[in-house]
Amino acid sequence: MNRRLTRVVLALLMVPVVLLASSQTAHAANAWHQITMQPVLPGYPDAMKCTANVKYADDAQSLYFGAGSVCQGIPDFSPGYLQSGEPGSTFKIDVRGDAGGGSPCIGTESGTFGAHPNDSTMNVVSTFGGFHVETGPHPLGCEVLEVCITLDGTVYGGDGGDQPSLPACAHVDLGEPEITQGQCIHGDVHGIELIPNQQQRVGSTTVTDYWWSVRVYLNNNQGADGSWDKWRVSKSTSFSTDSTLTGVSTGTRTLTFELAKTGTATASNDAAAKLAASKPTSLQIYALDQIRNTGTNYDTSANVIASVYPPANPEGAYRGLTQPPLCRFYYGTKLVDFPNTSADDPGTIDVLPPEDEPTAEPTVVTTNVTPDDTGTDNSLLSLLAGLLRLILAAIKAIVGAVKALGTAIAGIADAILDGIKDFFVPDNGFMNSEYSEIRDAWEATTMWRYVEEVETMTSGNVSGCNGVPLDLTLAGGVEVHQRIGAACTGTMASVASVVRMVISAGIVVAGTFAVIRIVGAGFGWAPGVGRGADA
Amino acid sequence: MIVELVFGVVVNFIVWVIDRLPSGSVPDWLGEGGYLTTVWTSAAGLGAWVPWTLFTSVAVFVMGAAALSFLIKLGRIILSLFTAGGGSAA
Repeated sequence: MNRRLTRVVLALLMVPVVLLASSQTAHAANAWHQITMQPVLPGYPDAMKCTANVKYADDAQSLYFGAGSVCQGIPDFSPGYLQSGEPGSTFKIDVRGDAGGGSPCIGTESGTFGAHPNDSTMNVVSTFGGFHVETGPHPLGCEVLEVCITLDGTVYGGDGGDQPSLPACAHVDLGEPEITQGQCIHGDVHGIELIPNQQQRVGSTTVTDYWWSVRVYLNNNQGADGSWDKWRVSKSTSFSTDSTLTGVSTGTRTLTFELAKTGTATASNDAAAKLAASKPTSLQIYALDQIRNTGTNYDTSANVIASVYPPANPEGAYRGLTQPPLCRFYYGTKLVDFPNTSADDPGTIDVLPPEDEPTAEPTVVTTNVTPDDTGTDNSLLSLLAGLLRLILAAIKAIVGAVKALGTAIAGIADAILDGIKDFFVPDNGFMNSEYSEIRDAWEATTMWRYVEEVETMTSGNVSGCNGVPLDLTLAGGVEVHQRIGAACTGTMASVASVVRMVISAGIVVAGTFAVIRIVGAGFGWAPGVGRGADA
Repeated sequence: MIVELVFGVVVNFIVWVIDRLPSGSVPDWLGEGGYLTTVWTSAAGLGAWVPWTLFTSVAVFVMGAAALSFLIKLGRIILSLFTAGGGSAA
């Protein structure tokens, strides 16, 4: 008995466990990744090796290159001989990726290599990074798949002449970018004021100018010491018939006010009368940097943080401020256009170099050969240096030839692998075609028509409470019209509710046991769960 | 090419088997306005007592489990052919 009870409890516990497990979604923060690219210079396949730290910017609209990125070249024994990748020379970065749904996204950035302490006439070592390559705007960010670098051959001598390197690409797997949720104003609006103003011009005896000021009082916990600060944002301008008032800045947040309706201006020349007549009757406040980002669906209405002046329902009118799920920064396609403010423009929040960049410098190999630009006129030293230069050039040529041979062999191997792949991998659309063939054959059978009829029959509403109609004519012509099991109201409805709950529990438990037994049978396991006396 | 050939043979065999199945129309008692529909419509009136939607959902789930079990068993039978004489999934 106890074992059976334990099984029932375990079976019931499975339901919430499965539901909880399926509802969990993993979120990985954007992290640094180290990538390596090896630019090929004419005649020198492995002339350079560039190591870079990359990570998505917090807005996922760009890829950040850490300042510790380094390019290192083969020993450079002759100034003016191999200058690609040297500090001061230029390069180009190309970033390609997927903006969602197969839509491509690209970004390009050019830069100049910086100095590195290990750079000398013997070794090319230079730094780059500290910039970001824009790939947006895309609402879901740009999932970067490939990063390429091209070195400009500013003073490249030797066989290749003065020309840039071939683009060296790194296929990267940074995962899908995560768009960091922006900070919300975790506070509330506790006051909105419309303040009438009049102004008397100097030298005039009449009041000619009038305007309204808007003041919004915010409780905000973004203070430096974590305490609650009170902000008062205000905007004053002359308006009598204008319907909008935009560009009110709070310093770190920009609010946009919209007067949905103003009063009717009078024909009076009295400014005070105009002022009184033009009192706004409705006021909307937008926080445009808090437009909710829900993938491809945007809902600007969620940004109305206060909709009525004076607030008819103070507790319900300010939800946009205090609900973090509604406060995501706005990226991507421009949704609304307020010409007098940039508050409706897509934002970027991570253009400054991140501070958590890991050390990315590769092991810099130095060659301890005394450079020949010491200024000393020593003919023997010059002769030895020239001789050494010739020997090393010959070694480089031999190494280059061996590597070229290796590259050719690798090319043959690649071709063989491609052929094998073509031999085994079916063409695009082949599987869909085969599946369609089976489906068409199946849908022509009687069995499918049975399934179709049952599906049509059961797809309607089956939650009625009117019971089963019973219409009888008894002896003597007495007609009986009853509805057996009708339980729409009253005591019967209560009883039916309890019975329904019990039957529901029974169906769930029995179904769980049945699934365990059936799936277990597939593995050759015959569990006794749900059976009677097998325990 | 190899995979296409193998899949082509398997799919053609499956289609050939399916083509052996009858392809007539459904009987009147199952069609629209038939007896089964009448019974089902009457039973729907008992929705306050019996959770029909839950019942059909669980039934579909159990049938899916049966299909999964069949596939698992079929896979085990096929794998058992490669165990060098050992094992049986029967």
